Amino acid sequence: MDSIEQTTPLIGLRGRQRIPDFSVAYPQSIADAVHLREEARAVWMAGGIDLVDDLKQGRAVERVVPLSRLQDLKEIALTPDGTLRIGALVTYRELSEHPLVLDKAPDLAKLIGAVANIRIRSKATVGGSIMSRNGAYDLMPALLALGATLIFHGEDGDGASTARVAASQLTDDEQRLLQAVEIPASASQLKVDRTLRPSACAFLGFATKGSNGALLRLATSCTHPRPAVAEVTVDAASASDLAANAALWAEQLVASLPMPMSDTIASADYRRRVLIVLAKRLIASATSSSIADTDHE
Amino acid sequence: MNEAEFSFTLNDRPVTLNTRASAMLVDVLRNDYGLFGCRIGCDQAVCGACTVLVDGTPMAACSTFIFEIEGREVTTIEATGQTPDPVQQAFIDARGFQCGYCTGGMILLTRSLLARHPDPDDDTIRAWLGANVCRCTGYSSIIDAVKAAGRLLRQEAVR
Amino acid sequence: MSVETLADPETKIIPLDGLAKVTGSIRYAFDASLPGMLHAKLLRSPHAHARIRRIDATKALAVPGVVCVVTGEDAARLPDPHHGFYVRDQPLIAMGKVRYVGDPVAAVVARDEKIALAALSLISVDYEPLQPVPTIDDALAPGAPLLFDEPHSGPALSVGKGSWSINEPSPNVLYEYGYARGDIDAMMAKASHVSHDSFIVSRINHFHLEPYAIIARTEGERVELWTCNQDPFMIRGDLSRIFGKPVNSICLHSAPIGGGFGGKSYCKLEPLVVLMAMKAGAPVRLALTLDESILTLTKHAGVLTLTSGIDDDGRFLARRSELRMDGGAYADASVMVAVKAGYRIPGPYRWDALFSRASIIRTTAVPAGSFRGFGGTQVSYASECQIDLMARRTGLDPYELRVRNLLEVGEEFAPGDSGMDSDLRQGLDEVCHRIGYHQRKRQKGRGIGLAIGLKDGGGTGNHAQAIVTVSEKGDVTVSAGTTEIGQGAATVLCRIATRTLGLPLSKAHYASIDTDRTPLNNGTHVSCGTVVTGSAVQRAAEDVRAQLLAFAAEQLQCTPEELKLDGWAVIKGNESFSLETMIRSWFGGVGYSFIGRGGMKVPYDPASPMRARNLFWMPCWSTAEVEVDEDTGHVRVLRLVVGADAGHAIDPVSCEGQVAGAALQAYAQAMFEELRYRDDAVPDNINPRSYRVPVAGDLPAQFECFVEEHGYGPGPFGAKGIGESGMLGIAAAIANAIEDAIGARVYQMPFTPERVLAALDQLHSQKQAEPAS
Repeated sequence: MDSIEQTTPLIGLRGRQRIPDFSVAYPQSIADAVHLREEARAVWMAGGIDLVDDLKQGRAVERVVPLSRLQDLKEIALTPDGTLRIGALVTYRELSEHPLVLDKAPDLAKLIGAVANIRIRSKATVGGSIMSRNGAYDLMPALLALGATLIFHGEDGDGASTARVAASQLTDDEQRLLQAVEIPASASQLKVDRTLRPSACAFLGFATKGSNGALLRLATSCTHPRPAVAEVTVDAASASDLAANAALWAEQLVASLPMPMSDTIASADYRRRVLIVLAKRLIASATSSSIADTDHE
Repeated sequence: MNEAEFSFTLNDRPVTLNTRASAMLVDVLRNDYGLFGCRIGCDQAVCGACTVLVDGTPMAACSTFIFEIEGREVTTIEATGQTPDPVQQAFIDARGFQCGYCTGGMILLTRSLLARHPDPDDDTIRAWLGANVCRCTGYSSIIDAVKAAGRLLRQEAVR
Repeated sequence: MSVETLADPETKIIPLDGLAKVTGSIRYAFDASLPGMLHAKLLRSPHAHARIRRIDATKALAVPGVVCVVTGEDAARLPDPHHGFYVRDQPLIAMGKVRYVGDPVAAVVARDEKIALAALSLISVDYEPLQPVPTIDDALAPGAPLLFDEPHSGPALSVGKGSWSINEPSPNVLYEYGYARGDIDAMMAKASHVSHDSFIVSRINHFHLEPYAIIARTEGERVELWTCNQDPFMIRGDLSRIFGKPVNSICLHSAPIGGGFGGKSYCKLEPLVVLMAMKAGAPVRLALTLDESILTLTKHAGVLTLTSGIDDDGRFLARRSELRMDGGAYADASVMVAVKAGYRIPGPYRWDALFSRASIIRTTAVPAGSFRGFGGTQVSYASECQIDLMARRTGLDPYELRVRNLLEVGEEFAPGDSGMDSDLRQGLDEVCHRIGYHQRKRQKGRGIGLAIGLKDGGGTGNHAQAIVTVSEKGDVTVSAGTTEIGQGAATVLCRIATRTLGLPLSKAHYASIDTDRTPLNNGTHVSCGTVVTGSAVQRAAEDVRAQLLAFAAEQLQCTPEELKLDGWAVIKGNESFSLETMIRSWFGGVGYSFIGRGGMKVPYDPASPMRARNLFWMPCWSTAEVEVDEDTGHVRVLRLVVGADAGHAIDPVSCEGQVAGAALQAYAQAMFEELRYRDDAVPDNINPRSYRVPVAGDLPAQFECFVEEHGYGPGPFGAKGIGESGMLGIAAAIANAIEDAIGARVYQMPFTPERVLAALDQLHSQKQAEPAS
C-alpha cells in the first residue's frame, strides 16, 4: 500500500474528503484489466470495501479499474472432477446463496452467510477479501482449511494462461490478478468456531484421503497479522475416531502455527490456549454429519 | 478533472449528473439533490446511517462511488415523501427511534429485509439489523417495529 | 409522600417529531449551512505529551482556497481562552503544549473541507516530545512529569455539610471531593467482617451517531452559533467570558441533536469555531469525524477501592472509599463527576459511617467528562460487586444482604439530604421474580447475579424557566431550554403543558431553541428535563390556565371559580362557551396569544452534603443470568432484566426506551466496548471499525426492561427523571452472575474471556494451595 507524502500525520481525519480525484477506466477483458493497472498508482476495484477505506486514510491513487463488469470473474461452476470454482468477483452474499455452493460446500456457504452484515456481504467479494490479506477476515482462513487453490491471471501476453497458487502459498507481494478460487472435491467438511471473535476464530478443514487416512487443517483469524494455517495427516485408523485423539491433534496443530500476536484485545498466550480448546472441540465434532456451527454473531 | 456524466434512477425519477467519478454517493445525494435523510455518521460503512437501497439492496452511501451507481435504481428515505408507508407507520407506532439519526437507514434496511423475508423470525431480524447501529434505543423497539411492519405489509398483500 | 395522579386521558403518546424522523425530514446541526460558509479542519497532536516550539503554516496559507489558520497564538489574545467546569484548564486550542494524542493544535479555515485537509498536511509543527503520563499510577509516581506547570486560579465547587471540595490538591491531581460522616474507625472496629477490594472500570466513548457540528457567524458585535450542544446557555456563558462580550450579544441555536449521552454537554469546540469565524470574517463550519469525536471526550475510567465493614447480622456499618478516576488531559466536567462518584458510592443502603474520597487524576489521554450516569455508573459497579463479595464471604444470600440494608421510602440518603423516593425492595423483588432468582437451580457454568445501581437525579440547586403560549385556537407552543437529544423531551414537555390545559398533545409544538428567545436552562443532563424543566412548563401552563379563566370570567361576567375549562371551551353552569369565539370577539386583529410563565428553583441548603437536597433518586434494579465456558472464559449473557422507577410515566414508551438504550450501553461496556490505549498513551481503536459498539445481534437472548411507577416523584404528575437509570446496575449484575457461575470474581471491565479465564486460573491455584478440609 502506498503511503501518502505528508509533512504531518492527520490524526482522526479519516474520511471521504481525503479521497483523491481519480479517473475510472472500465476494462473490456481480464487482460485489459491487467494492462490498465500497470500504470503507476492505478488499482483494481472489486467490491471496494478495503479500497474505499484506504482511500479515506489518504492513499494516493490516480486511476481506479473496476472489475465489476467482467462476467468471467463472477461465475460459480463445478469442474468435471468435482472441483468447485468460484470467481473472484463473486460477492459474499452470492456465495452464501448459490445452489452449487450450498450443495458442494454448505459449511462455507453457512459461514460466509453469517459474517459481518447483509450490507457488507452484498459488496464484499471473494477476491477482495483474499487479497486484503487481513488477518481478521474469515474467508481466507476457511479457504486455507479447505485446502483451496487460488487461480491468478498468468503472465503471457494474450491473457490465456493462469497460474495456480495454493492458498497457503499466497505471498504479500503477489501482483497478479486473482481470477478464481478452487475448492477440491475431497475437502468435505469445514467446522468453524467464531464465538471468541475478536480474540481468536478457528477453522477446521477435514479432507478424506481414502485409505491414506485424512488431512486435518487448522486455520485461524484474529490471531495473527495474516491468516495462518497448519496441517496434520491422520492415518486411516485414527481418522475413524477423531474424538479419541482430538486433544493431541489440536495441540500439534496449534504448535505448528506461528506464535499468535499480543495486542490490546488479547495476549498471545491466551490466543494459543483457546486455539487448542477450539481446535479440540472442532476435531471432536468433525465426524458428526450434522453441522453444529457454534457461531453467535 | 475527472468529470463524467452519470445516469441513474433516483426515487423513481431518471436523473443525469455531471460530476467527478470519485464523488461519494452520500455527498451527491445531500449536496446535489438536497436529500439530507441520508446521514453521515461514521464514514466507514459501519454505522449504516447513510444506508440507501441500490436495486433494492442496502448500501452504505458514504462508501459507494457515484460511478458504481450508473444505470441503477437508488431509493432514499425521501422516496415516500411525507406520507408514511406501512414501514414508517410501524416505526412510529412501535416508537422504533429516539434521536432519529439512524432511523432513515433502519427503515430502508427494514424494507429490504421484508422484501426478502416477509415474515422474518427473531434471528433473521437481529442478523439483518446488524448492518445498522443505533446508540439510543437498545434495539428492542426497532425489532418490534420491524415485526409490526411485517404484519402491516402482509395484511396489505392479502387485500 | 405519595402523590395522587389522574390517569392521562390520552392513552397513547404519539411523539411530536415522529413523522419528521421516519421520513428523514428532520434536520440536525450537522445539516445546517449558511451562505458564504467556510469549512474548518483541525490538526491534532500525534504526541501524547509535548511542548510546541513552533508552528509554521506558511505553506498551508499559500494553498488556493485557504482563508486563514488559527493557532494558540490567536487564542492567547482573548480575555480568557480556557474552559472547564470549575477548573478551567482546557485551552480553545493548544497553547504552548499538547497533552494527549488528538489534542487540537492548529485549525485551517478554507473554502471546502478537501482544501482544508490538504492544507492541514502542509502545516509543520515543531514539537519537543515530553514523557507521556499514560496511567493513574504513572501520574502519581514520585517525579512524574506534570501536565500543568502551575495550578489554575478560581474557587472550588461549593459543597455542603460533611463534604469537602479541593481544586488541584497536588500536581497531576485535578480535583478531590470527599464526604465523611460518623466515626469510621470505631464502626470499622465493630465490624465482624471487613472486605477490601479494588475494582477497575474502563474507558468508553459516547459514539453518538451525529458527529459534532458547529457553525459560528459574527455580524458586527453579534456572535451567532448553530450547535449540537446539549447546554446552549452554559456555552453562551462560556463564550461571554472567553471573548469578553455580554451574553445578549451571543446567540446559540440548538437543533435537535443526533444523540448526546453527555458527549455534547459542557464547552467543547464552540469557542474555537467562534474564533475562526472572527478571524476569517465569514461563517465557519466545523464538523468532526466520528474518530475525532472519540478523541474529544470519554467516560472516566479508574480504580475504585472499597473497604467495607458489616456486623454479624449483615448490617452495613462502615465504608471507606478511595476512588481514583482517570480524568485524561483536561478537566471538562471531571469536577462534577468526582463529586457525584464520591457521594453516590454508598448506594441505596443505610451506613453508620462513611469516608469517601474521589480524586481525578490527570493523564495524557483523551479528556474524560460527562457520560450518562455520571460517576454513578462507576461507583454502582464497585459497590454492588463488593456487596456480593461480602455476601459470599459471610455465607449470606446476596439478595438477603441487600434487603437487610435497603433504605426505606422516606429515609434520608444522608443526613440533610432528601429521602428515598422509590420502594427499593419492590423493584428488587420484581427483577428477582422475573428471572426466577429464588427458584433457581444450581447448574454448572451458569449463574445469576443481582445489582441495584443508584444515582441522584435532577441536579444540585437546579432551576429552569419556561414559557407556554396558546393561540386563540388553542394551539400550544412550549418554549424551554431542554434540548431534544432523543430522550423525548419535546414530547414530554408538551404533554405536561397540554395535560395541564386539558388539551390533546397534537395541539402542541415544542419551540426551537435559541438563547435569545428561549427561557434560560442549566442544561440537558442529570435527567432533569422532566422534573426541573417540566415543573417550569407545568407552572407556565397553569399560568395560562389562570389567564384563560380570568379572561373568560370577565367576558361572561362571573368569577373564574364558576368556570371549568373543557377542551378549548369553558363551561359555566350547563352551558359551554367557545374560547375561540370569545377571544376573537374581544381582540380582533390577527389573533391573540396567552403567554404563561413558569419557573422552578431547588433552593441551596448548606446543611445538605451536596449544598442542596437532591430532587429525586434513580435506582436501577438489574439481574443477569450468564453461562460461562470454563475452558475459554467466554461469557454469554442469557438473560438481562433491568427496571427503573419513573415515579409517574408521562410517556411510558419513551421511559422504557431510555432504560433499554442505557442498559445496552452499560452492557456493551461490561462485555467488550472499550477505548483501548497502548502502553505509550497512544489510543489503539479510534476508528468506527475498531471501536466496537453493540448491534442487534449482541443483545442477550432475553432482554427485558420495565418501568415502575412508585408515584413519589417531585415532578409533574409525580414524575421523576429516568434517562440515566438504565446505565447503573448492569455491569455489577453481570459480574455477580459470573461469580455465581464459576466462583471466581472478575474485577476489571470489560469481562473479556481472557480475564474470566485468568480469574478461574487464580481460583484453581488457590484451591490447590489450600489444605484439604
